[in-house]
Amino acid sequence: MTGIVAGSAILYLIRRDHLAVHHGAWWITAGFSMLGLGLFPPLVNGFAKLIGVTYAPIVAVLIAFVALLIKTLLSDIDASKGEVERHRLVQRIALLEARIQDLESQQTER
Amino acid sequence: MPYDTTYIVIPAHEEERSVGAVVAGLYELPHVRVIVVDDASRDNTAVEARRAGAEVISLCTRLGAWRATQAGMRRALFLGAKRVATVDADGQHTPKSVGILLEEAAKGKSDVVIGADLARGSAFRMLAWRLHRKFSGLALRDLTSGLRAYNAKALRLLAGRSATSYLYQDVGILLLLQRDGLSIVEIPVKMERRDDGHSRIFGTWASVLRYMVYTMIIGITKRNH
Repeated sequence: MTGIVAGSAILYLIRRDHLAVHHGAWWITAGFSMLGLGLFPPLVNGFAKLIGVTYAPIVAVLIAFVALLIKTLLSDIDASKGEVERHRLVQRIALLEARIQDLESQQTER
Repeated sequence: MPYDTTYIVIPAHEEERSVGAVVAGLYELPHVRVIVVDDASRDNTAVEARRAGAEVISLCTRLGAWRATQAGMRRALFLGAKRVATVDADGQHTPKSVGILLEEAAKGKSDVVIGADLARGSAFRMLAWRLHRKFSGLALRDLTSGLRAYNAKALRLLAGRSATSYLYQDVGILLLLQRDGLSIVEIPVKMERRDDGHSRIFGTWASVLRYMVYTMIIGITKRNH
């Protein structure tokens, strides 16, 4: 149920340009996974038995948690890169304004 | 411009009271051009700096002292600078001490020259220096001095992308220079007490904490072994 609602919400957000497509790809995968696990509990149970965990549902929670952690980390890495770009742009604007002033004063000298 | 012109970059945020005098004093030194970087000040910093004869570049968003300095360095490089000195806008660095710094830099024995005043600052600052020296492995005594001279090689490195991600010009930048094999030397100078008495970094407890944590992490992660 959650998977269906989440999946629809994500598609809507992409359509309305609130969520960029490459982020959407991640969330769609997440949505489908949630759907899959929700519709096929034996998958989780089987996997849990395989790795020796007695309480199966916790495996699903664990996977979700790790996925979220990775996503947050990637997000922060993206943000850091964005900040550097932004700072260099602010510097660039100031440099360009200085060049304009150079040219304007050359003009008035003539 | 003659080859041996030194461009002096002064990052300034809300320094209308002292920047004019600082710029005027610097122009008493030979072969200098002063660039004041107005870091989104809302007061008359830019006006006062211009009136004293400096070239002023204004940032539209506040970037902090280090990135403002970097903007000044990028401008200096554009203008053909082979040497840049950084000076504070609050009057701590006297023209005499800048002169001493530039004389040493002109010798060309080192890529970076730092004007160090170990007598300044509180016991807390001394403790902070000791701590950060330990974490970063840097052998320098005055880690937070803003009075420095950089040659062309250092300039090109510090004007680049890798240097933009740093928040302060202290440990991180020094480690960056060291990692790239640049030589750094300290010479003793005397600094004045700040005009208005309050430090930028050690102003509030929150900013002190932020600085200490940031610098410790930088020291540990970016250490050159």
